[in-house]
Amino acid sequence: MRRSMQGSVIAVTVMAVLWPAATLFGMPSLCGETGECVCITWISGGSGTVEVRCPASGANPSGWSSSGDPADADGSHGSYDGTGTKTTAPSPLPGMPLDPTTSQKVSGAKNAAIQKLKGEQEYDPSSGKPIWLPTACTDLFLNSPFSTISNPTPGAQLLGGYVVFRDGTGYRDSAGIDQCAAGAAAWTTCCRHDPVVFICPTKFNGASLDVRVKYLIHETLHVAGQREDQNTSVGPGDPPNSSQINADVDAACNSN
Amino acid sequence: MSRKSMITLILFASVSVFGVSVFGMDASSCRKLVASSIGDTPSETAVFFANADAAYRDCRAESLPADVRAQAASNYGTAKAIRNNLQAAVAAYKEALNVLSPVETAYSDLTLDVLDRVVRAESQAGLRSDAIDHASRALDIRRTKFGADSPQAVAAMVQLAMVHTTFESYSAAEAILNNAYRAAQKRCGEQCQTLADVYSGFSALYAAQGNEAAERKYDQLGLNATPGPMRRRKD
Repeated sequence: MRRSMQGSVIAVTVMAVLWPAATLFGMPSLCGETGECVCITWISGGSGTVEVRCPASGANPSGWSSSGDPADADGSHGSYDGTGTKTTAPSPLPGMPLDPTTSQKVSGAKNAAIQKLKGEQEYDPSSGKPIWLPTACTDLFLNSPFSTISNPTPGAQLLGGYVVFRDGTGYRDSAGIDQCAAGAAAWTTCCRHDPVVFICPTKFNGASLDVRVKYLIHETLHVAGQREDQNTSVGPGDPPNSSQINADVDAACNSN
Repeated sequence: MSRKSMITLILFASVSVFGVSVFGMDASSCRKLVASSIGDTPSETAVFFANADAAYRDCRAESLPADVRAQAASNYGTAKAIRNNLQAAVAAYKEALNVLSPVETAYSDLTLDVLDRVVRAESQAGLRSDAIDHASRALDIRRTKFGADSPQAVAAMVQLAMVHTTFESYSAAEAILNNAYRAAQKRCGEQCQTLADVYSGFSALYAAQGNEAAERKYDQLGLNATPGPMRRRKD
């Protein structure tokens, strides 16, 4: 009993310490990890709002949540797309705003990447209107939790309307590593759908358009939930490492 | 020959056999070292850092070809810029430009590459006039080499406009972007990567001024102008 009490005190203390950090981007442990609900922090200016998407058949409602906890989502309409009343959750963004040169380089690469992630365009001979057909590039996102029948190209939607780019110069990740100084061109926190993608201007801006497109699609895959192997050991069930993801993106999106 | 001179000679001869001299590397070893690519991943970049540092230490002797010496200095500058040591980066890039200066026409591609790099580093370091001078020089060289309305010249105009935007000279930036727009449209019509890049420049210019509506408008124009993959009809 006493041990149980001690355990509870420790648990409460740990929660008290971790909770503010967890709610900073509205990504507490209930989101993403359970495989049941997907929590998405929509950023608008300096604020963010957490949308919780849960399957209609599950125990948790979809909607907007102030804490990012699916149990706290208002679920007023119960739809998978998280309709309901948006609440504002102040969410100061990490890193720095992009400088104009980097902004221009990111913007150009983002547009090129979105066009690739929308698929191949063809004109429907009967209506004369353009239609989009899936490609190996769009299929990179096929298994992401954002892929639905009504949204068959979640990669384009994520990159176009969800991902937020920040200058990562000097910014340290949760392990205390300055990823830009370590040689990354772009990086993000994997894999709870954190919308912030950090850009490392020196390396990113010096790359060709195709390479910048590859970097952005790579990071968008992480935002969608793609894991990455961080060690050098290879074993069954290991996610692909950074080079393998780059090779997959190149083969799927930059091959023509 | 004295015993001391003999030892020195033997030591020099032995290290030279391995392509490494106490006075620096030979040209072919240096050429390999400076050809090191920056790579995609941090582990590949770590190799680039090591090679860049080694080349800067061992590949700057006057006897080496100018392009090798310049590339060694440029790579070192890039390694320093990535590690956020912008002052050292700018100094190394300027050293590369000085080496290239007498042979600029023979190595114009390398000169342009170094100019683009120094412009980025100087912009980040807040060195306004140097950044504008170097960006203007890069534009002049591209106009001469590729033509006034070439995609390369348009890209250089956008770069110069972004430097002006960085230092809040918004009207100068807008005027340059308008010229770039006219050149891009004349060259490629309504949809091409060059025109899309100009729209991205306008978007960045208005973002810097806090004009969100104009930023969004030019973002959309940029997206519309970006060529997407088209499926070939099987007729």
